[in-house]
Amino acid sequence: MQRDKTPGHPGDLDPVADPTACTQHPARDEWMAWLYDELPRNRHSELKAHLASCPQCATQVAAWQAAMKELDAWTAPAPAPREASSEVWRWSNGFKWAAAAAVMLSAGFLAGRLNSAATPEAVRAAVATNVSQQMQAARAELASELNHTLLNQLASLNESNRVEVTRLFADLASTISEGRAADQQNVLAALKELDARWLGIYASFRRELETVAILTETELKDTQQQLVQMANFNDINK
Amino acid sequence: MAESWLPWKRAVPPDHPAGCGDEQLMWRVRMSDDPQAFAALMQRWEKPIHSLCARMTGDVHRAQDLSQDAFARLFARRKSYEPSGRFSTFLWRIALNLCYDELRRLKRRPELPLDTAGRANRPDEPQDDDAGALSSSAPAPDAIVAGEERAAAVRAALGQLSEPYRAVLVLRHYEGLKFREIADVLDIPEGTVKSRMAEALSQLGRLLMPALNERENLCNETKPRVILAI
Repeated sequence: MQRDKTPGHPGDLDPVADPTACTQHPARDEWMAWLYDELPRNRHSELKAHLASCPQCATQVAAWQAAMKELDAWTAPAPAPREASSEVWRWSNGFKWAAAAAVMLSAGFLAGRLNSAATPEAVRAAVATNVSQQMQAARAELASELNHTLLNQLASLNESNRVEVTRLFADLASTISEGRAADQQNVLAALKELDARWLGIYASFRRELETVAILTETELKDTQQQLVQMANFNDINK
Repeated sequence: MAESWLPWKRAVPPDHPAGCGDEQLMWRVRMSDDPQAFAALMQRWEKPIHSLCARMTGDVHRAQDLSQDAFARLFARRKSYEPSGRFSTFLWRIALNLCYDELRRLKRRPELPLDTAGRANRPDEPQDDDAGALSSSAPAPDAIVAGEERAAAVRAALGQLSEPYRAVLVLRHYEGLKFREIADVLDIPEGTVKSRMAEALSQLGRLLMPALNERENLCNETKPRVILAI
């Protein structure tokens, strides 16, 4: 069912029903753009002002908004959990956990060794020193590995970009050369066709010319014979 | 904002196909049948296309098949992709045409889903066993039932809209396309898209009016009882 969408008709409302209402209602198209926030700012404000002063449009827009709100009740299917796609991410996460596990294991081992023979303060100090050393070592190792990984990533990125650009250029060149070859073939075909057409015209013209020549020759012979006959006839009369 | 230099904070490595634009990936698929590029496109677009198919057909299982068909058709028609056009328009159009075909097929040979009243036929619910439903933050059972009823009413109302109206409404309201983009996908003027949207919303409002009124009445009736119970 298609309805009138010209200005002056606020969608489903009947403007005749309320004679006191304003007559210049925005079109339904504009209300749709307004509802979905696709209007320029100044026009958006104008429609908002109109809405505040026009009960007809306000009713219609409220009905549309209610329908839109109901639509939201049907939510989309829950997204599947996203998997980590980066090898580096997986590797670095694994490394961090491995480093933490190594630190905790060595701390536990040291605590166990010292627990039987030393005071709690000495154990705590020894564990703290050991943990601190282990953490520093792990941090240094992690930083070193990280730098190495980043450099590798950068190198592979440059290499892959270079390969990609080269490949794209090759694709472009092949596309252009294919296009050029196709153009040449088209021109050649057109020239051949033109040549054949000219040959046809030439042959036909030549045939017509020969026909005219033969006819002319025949006519000339006839005329010559008639002249001879006329001369003979004059001689007889004399 | 600049991307973090820390590898584990970077969602997608820059050399991965997922770091490229859709058009670039599709160009790679077209020119060299690049499987990685196609996989990246699928990963990126699987959910929106599945959502579109579910909204159009109202059946999550059928939507699964349709979205797979859409990607199969995308690959089959990769040579007809024009790089000057937007990839999304190309893909939306393929998926919509498949939905139209499926709806016409269903119209010719209507099927009654086996699980019309079951969970599996509701696109708004996760298909896996949802452990979160058992947690204390989960909504109350009556709220879940009420939400399901509202969703079912909306789904049924959408199913009663004719295809042109439904397509515009789904693309704009659920998939978030601009009116201009919908006009490109459907190959119709933008004004027509907006008119169809207005008509679709009006029809939907009329279709949902009984359910809305009924719910309002129910709320009015149950309120005093709740107060007494407290």
